[in-house]
Amino acid sequence: MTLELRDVTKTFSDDASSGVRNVSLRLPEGQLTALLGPSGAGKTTAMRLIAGLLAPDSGDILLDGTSILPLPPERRGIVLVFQNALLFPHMSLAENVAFGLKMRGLPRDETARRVAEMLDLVQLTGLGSRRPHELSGGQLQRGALARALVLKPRLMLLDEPLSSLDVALREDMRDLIRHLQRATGVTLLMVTHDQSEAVALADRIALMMAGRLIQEAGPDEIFQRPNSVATARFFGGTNFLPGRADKGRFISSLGPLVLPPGQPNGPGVLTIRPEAVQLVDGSGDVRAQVTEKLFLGSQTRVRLLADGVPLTALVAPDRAEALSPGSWIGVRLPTHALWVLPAPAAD
Amino acid sequence: MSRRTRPLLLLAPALVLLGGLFFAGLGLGLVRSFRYMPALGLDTPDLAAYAAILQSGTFLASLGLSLWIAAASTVLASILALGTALLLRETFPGRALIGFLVQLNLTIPHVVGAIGILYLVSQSGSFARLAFAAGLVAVPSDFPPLTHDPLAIGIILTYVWKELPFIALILLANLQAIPPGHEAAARSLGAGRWQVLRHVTLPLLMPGLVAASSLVFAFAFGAYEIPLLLGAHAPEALPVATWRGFTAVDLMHRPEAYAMAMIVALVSAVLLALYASFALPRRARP
Repeated sequence: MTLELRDVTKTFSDDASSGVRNVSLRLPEGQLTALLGPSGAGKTTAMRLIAGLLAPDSGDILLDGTSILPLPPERRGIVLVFQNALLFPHMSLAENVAFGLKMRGLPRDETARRVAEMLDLVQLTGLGSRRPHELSGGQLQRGALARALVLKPRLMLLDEPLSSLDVALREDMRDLIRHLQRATGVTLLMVTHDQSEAVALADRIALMMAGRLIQEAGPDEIFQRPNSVATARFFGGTNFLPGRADKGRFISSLGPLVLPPGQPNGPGVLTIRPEAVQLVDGSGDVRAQVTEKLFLGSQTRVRLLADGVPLTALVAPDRAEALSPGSWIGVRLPTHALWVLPAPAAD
Repeated sequence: MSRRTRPLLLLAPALVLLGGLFFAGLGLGLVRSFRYMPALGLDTPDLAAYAAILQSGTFLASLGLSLWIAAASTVLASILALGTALLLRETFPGRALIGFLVQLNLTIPHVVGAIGILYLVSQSGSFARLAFAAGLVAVPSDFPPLTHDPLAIGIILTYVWKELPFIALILLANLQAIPPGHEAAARSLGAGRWQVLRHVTLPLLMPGLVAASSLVFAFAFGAYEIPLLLGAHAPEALPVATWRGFTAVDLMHRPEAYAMAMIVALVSAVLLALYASFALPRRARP
């Protein structure tokens, strides 16, 4: 199963923020792709277009090379799992899970067998007779997954599957989604606004902003080698230094810095992830003054000013213990962690 | 004022009205239906009034007619109201106009509607004359009798016309309270439009539909003015027969009228209880 979006556009006259514009995307078979972006980026619209709950203004959506646009939602073989589970309140959990099979007219005994199997798989064994109002948030969400997976869909869409759960449940649910995906081999597309969720779960990440697809890559790549300042910022990037790359060096107000090989020459923005910035006792690459220190638990965030350039470092708490606002420290910017982004187009 | 007395005080006016007028009236009626009316010299309660009416063919015919009127009006109005409510939920040109007409209908009294029906569909009404003008009937009185007819079609038409908007508005409010995702979720799970309606929307609407149609049934079963205006002479609807009992010159007919009123109340209560337990399966209750 391969899903492909070709130059899909859908805009709303009454809501300029949530449309999608010229999105092209391919979902690799049997993998989990995260459709990531801030709210209003058009993620949910994209998902509803794929599910058939909306029709695009232009462009095409293909499943295994065939356009699915003429098909109504129930004929696409694509199941959408909504953010708030939405189990039908007038049915038991087992009846909910059996719903799609019943609609397909499957014999009762086979339905019952597959429902029981699926309840086992999502660890809801024995809860089949419960009503939705008798289930916890995590159980509802797992019920919704079971209700979708029991249909053996060609593609399963998850709309913010973790956001309605509290923190303790999220990790369990994350593991379960991973496990279910491996156990069934289903192709998954998950919408989320949480980059850590996307990085932890997805094989591929498609980043959307303001209706456009910004970058599509593996989590490692999109995290370490973003293709724009916007992408880097979305993944928690904080250090951006305008200048130009020239023969393996980056020339900026911090002086020349040696770049890793393979960076193109020309104007650009140098970035380094805050956790890659090192604080050293010597002079380092540059001396900087601490402007703010914030203990975050497992890390401490140190804001610095080096020759008028603001930098942020995330370091182990003991490394930052002796620092306080106003103190001076050496900053090392390791070559392997440097990455040059294209200079933003002049507006 | 303590937290416990406050709600009681707030409820007091409603309780006085309900208790005073409803239960006292019902109690008084019950006592009199047992032929206990000392002012008339009846001072030993008995069941003779019940026995008399249950043995009379006219009472049973009236009961049957009233049940038919109530059931047919309720079923027709409910089905049409369901369609109207589902339609009004969509957006289409003319939606506002239909919504306005539906609500306008609520403001017209039953009696006015009944007179309108009389002018339109009786054998001397506009439709009969139109049919005559068009050569469909030889004389206007050949037009099929739709008022004062044994099947009570005019009465049922009036109730359907009047109660449809009432049920539709209640259903529309219920529809708007259904979380919008449920129907989309059902679609995505492979249910077609009709399956969604049958397995998701209707069950979620059932509490509202039962409440609204129960009110309509109880009203159509017990109301007096429409059958009086549009009903046949025999059999007459139960409320009409009851009222004639009350207004009979011979006061000894009173206990029978009270007994009929008690039976109307009892039949309504039993039917509505059965309906609620049948149409609202345990799982649909909150």
